[in-house]
Amino acid sequence: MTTIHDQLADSVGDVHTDLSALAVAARAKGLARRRQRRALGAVGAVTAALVVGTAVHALAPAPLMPSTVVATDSGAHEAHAGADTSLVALDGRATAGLLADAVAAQGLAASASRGQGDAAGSGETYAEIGIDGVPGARIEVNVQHVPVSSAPAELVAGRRDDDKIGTDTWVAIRTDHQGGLRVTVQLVVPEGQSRPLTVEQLKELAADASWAFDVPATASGEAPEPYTSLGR
Amino acid sequence: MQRHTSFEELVHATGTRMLRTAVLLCGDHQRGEDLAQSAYSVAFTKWRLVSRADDPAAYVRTIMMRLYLREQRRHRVREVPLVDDMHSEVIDPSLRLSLLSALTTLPDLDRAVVVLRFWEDLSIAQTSAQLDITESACRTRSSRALARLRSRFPELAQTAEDDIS
Repeated sequence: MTTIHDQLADSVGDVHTDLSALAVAARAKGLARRRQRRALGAVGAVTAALVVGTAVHALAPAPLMPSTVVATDSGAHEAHAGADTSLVALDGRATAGLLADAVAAQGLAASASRGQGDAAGSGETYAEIGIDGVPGARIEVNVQHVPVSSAPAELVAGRRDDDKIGTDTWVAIRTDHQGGLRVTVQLVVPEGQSRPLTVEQLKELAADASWAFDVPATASGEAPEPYTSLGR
Repeated sequence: MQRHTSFEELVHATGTRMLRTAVLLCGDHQRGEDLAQSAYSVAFTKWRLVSRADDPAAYVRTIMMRLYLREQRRHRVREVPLVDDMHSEVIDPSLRLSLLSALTTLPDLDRAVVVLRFWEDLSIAQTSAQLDITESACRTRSSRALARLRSRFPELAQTAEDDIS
């Protein structure tokens, strides 16, 4: 009797690969990861972020807007309003804090938050927060470093074709190629619940100056792990 | 469970199956190979833990699943207009897809559920633990994914999961 397993096997067909080459490549990549972690550990995450940041800052075009946040490896962050040369490394915890602050400015309180820092020097952080008084609703933000190009900056928003059962999702995406930044803000609300934020407010969150950063988040250099619960 | 004395031995023992799993997740060989390679590279950095694990292959598979979902989330920008067309899906019955192509039409997490349940032959409990979702969510996703797959690939074999929906 044919099973789905058999059908899946048929659909993949024969997979031929040189396993020795795969092992060598994976080992090399793993060693590079390990070296990166050791280097970062040796000089301290913040120092590393400063060094990398200096190099990137020298090569990159002028930042999108003045940096406002410094995140340390312990997750603390402090505002440096008006500082135009601050080096910024957003980790997951700092990102969650920023998101909570930005949402508070919209008149809402975060019920809980969690964040995931950059895993492999890719310059991306992710965080999500719950909303007080709206059970099951959450706001997620994904801040990415994107290649600089000549494409104009854009801010788009709309409803997302979500894959979660029983939820509606709205999204605002701000991309600024000159600043090398993409901010994706998502609002996920259980079906039947009223939206705590409008799409316009989501756009405001995505456009928030706090997300401007001119250094990919490389502070932790850790391999992907489950999210860190912050339990605000 | 089989113990592996070296990283290379683990790759040789589990590589082919891991790669096929990756291809099912990604929908093409090239991306599948990249995913498998990334998973093994992370496993290499954690070799002390991996080598002592009860089931090192499962450890690598978990790493791969997390990498896959993380990558998908990073690149997922499937925007649609404000008009709600979520429930207006119309499928042309004459449009037959291969099972691999049909899999790629599933949402990322549903695809992962199908691959773990029916390719890796994991139980509902194991699948939900691996994907960090509840068992009921896993059941729901599984039966919904099968229904969607069947609409695009009618030859799909029947399973007990079909009875749930």
